[in-house]
Amino acid sequence: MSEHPDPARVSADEQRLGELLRAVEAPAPAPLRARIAELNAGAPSRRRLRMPALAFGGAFAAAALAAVALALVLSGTSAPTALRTAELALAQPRASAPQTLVATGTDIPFPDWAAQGWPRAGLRRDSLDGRQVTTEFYSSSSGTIGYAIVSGAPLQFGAGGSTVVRAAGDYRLMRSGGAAVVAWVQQGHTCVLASRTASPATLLDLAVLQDSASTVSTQRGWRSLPQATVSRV
Amino acid sequence: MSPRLDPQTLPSHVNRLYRAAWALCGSPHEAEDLVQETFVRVLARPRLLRGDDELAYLMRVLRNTFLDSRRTASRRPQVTAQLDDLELADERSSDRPEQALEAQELYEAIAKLPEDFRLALVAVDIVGLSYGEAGRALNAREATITTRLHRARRRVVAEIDGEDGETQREGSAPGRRLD
Repeated sequence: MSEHPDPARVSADEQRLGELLRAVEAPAPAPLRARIAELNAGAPSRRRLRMPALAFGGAFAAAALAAVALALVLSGTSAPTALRTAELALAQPRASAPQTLVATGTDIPFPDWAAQGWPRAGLRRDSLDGRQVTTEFYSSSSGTIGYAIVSGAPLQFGAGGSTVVRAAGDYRLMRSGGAAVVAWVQQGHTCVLASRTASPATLLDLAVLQDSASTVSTQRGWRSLPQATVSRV
Repeated sequence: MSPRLDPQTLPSHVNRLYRAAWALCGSPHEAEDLVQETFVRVLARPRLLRGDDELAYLMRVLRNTFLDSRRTASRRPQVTAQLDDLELADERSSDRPEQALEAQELYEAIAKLPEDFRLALVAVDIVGLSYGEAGRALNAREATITTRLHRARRRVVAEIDGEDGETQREGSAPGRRLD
């Protein structure tokens, strides 16, 4: 480039870039705004919200694993956690999915998310330290979501992650080995959604949908997600 | 005495910082994390603005957080990505997928700029700082910001509009159109 660029070119580039930037709306995603609002709400929840940055994905995954390992060592047991449950939700299905399915040891039915672009794709049942874990898998053309429900009392969410508050309840957003994880308590049981391809926002939308539908009304069936909040991969 | 940063006004800057972060790192997912980490730092304790306005201050923290993350990443042992990891896609804005794609292309083009050019463009064209404010936020002279900004804009426009010229001479990839 010359030392003195053509003023007309400079002006044209400035104008063109302005057009490009104005043409693409890129508002911050709702979960991010919610996390910022919660961070801003005050100190009591700040430590809890201090999620290691996902931009440093490998570091966060390593930190999360280390935190889990440390918790296990300190506790002297291998108590199940939401992150350990997420490993099952990220595993492969072992059976085809039935039309209707209620998680073992609970009264929670798995939802039908076909209308949201995530039809049922499979099932697995596991035992996690004496707890029954039922996992249903949902797939789209480019990814899979695992939804695990754990029998018994709510599990520890473990260290890390951020909590998002919605009308239906609180949801913990976490990362595990590059996968997005959302955990919450529904009807007294731990529920975990996990995916390597779906975004945290997608998982959160589905979690809120499931949680709201089961707590507000079981008679009206599953609501459709508002289009603006549906994210498909 | 320098005014204190008012935390209550910070949420109004989230959208702008998110776009800035996306342009810095090229990924909307990383941008979310970068913005959150930036706010965690800012809110960790009371802050004095010391002559900056809020946006300039946030830009400075965003830049430092971004650079720290890159240094951290460079020190971290490299791991082999699994297929699933390589298939990550941007899933947002499904109600306007064309615009989401255009946004991704534009911010990727900015993210490919050399770091100094990218920071100048982000500070002025995305965050909205004056040249002087950008210079103070980025520890560069105003004239330097001006030069970097011109070159950054030229490269991005050439990349998006598929123009020949300086972009090619300076080694960037061939241009692509958004439409």
